[in-house]
Amino acid sequence: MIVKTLRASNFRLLEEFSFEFRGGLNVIEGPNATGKTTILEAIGYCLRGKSMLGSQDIDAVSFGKDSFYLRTDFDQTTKSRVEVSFNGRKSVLLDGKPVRTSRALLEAFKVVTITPNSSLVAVGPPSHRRELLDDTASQISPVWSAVISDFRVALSERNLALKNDKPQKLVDVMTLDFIALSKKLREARLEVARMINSFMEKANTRMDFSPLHPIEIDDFARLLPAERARGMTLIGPHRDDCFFVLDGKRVDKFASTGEARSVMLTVKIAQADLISKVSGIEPLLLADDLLAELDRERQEEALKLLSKYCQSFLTCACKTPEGSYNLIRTGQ
Amino acid sequence: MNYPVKAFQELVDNLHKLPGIGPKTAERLSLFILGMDPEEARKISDAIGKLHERVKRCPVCFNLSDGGECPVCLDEKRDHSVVLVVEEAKDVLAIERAGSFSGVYHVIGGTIRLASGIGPEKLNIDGLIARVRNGGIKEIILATNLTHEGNLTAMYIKKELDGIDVEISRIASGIPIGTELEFADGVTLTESIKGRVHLTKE
Repeated sequence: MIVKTLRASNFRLLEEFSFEFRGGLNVIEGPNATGKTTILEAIGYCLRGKSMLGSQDIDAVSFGKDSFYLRTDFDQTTKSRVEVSFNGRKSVLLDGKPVRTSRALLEAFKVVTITPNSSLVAVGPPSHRRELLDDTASQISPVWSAVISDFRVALSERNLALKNDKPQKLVDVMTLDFIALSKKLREARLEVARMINSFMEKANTRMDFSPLHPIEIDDFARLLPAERARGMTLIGPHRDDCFFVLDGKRVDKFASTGEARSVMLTVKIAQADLISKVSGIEPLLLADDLLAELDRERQEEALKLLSKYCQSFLTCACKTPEGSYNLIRTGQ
Repeated sequence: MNYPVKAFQELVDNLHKLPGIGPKTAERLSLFILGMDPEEARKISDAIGKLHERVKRCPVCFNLSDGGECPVCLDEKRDHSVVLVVEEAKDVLAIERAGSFSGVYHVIGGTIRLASGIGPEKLNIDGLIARVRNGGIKEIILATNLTHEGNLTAMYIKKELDGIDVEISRIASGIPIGTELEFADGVTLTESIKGRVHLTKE
């Protein structure tokens, strides 16, 4: 899958723009605040129907405007274009047909994003690593993707029931539902962690995921008073810990900034290769400001890594090292 | 879009509230209504205006009715010992169109979704339990949607029916009849293989 063109109207800094891209690596180079990240976000928006930065649709509208429009055209036989428009209500069209759930986009397009915050996957709180596992799982299996979205609803509904002192009968039913989904989610995460490890190029980096708490009906019966008192679900996959191990040491405890970045890159590449192998669709790589904080040698290494994919995008505020890539300049 | 004529603006804004009607369609419909015979236009507005006061709920099954029990509940030829539980009145319409179900219905009016303020007490579940307790019902078919919320609501109703002597079933899930496998989504395919039906040897 290759994004050939992107058209954007009133999307953040891009009031009226059109870009052409090529297969392989596309480098978007320009000074700060000229819309480099916005271009990546616009592509991400078309592939996922929402912001990869987690922001609200309304916040993506250019200042002083009331709607935005995005369109990407692909060089691919099965799907040829996505349009996203927002004017108070959002509409996502895949080849002209409305997309109701994000699942259709997840099945059609695979994406791996690297942002300046991505190092948190190595050294941040476990939620970042759970998110990595869940994102990978949803991209390789529609069944897992359904489990993940149902699990999130089940968890927040159960928390609401506990917080609002709902009758025990309802909590009991929700507990059974939560346990069933939790088990499926843990199976998915264990399997994805195992697969990511098998795709890790550097053998000294591993992901360690071993859920701590058992989640059987008895465990919830025992915890019920505490859960009622605190108004939240105290055990389950939303609390599972997982971490990376580099040369036998826990990355989240002992890694330097540089090591964290390099673990993150190894993991993201493993994620991309895994998604490509299992789903049969090459993912698009969106790398925001990846070269910052890397020395010259590592920068060249990163460029080489990104070039091996069907299509990748990299933003860069400084002069990008020489290489064979399509250069797009912003702010001119 | 802002229009200089206030009455026109009001109609466009109101039509835009309907599902599937964008600003352009709302404008086109408004222009069409403006071009209609005023009497015809009034008929539309009357039908909309009186809808809420004229459409009632059946006191037994909460299906739509003109007042009093609905035609299904009044029909003596139907099997009143089998009750099919659905989320909305539109589900009754769909099943009635298929014309193959001869039992009666119970419309619970939605699904449990605490995030939207809908707990079981907001649904017509108590009415269903009371109906079953009154006797004469052999089977309850839980036909809430096959979504996460629909399943949870079905599980809840089953829990509420605990201890009452009645058979409880859930509608099947799988590949739609008359379609090809390659167009089914992954979740449906997986579920339909899991829930496969064994063919007996002749």
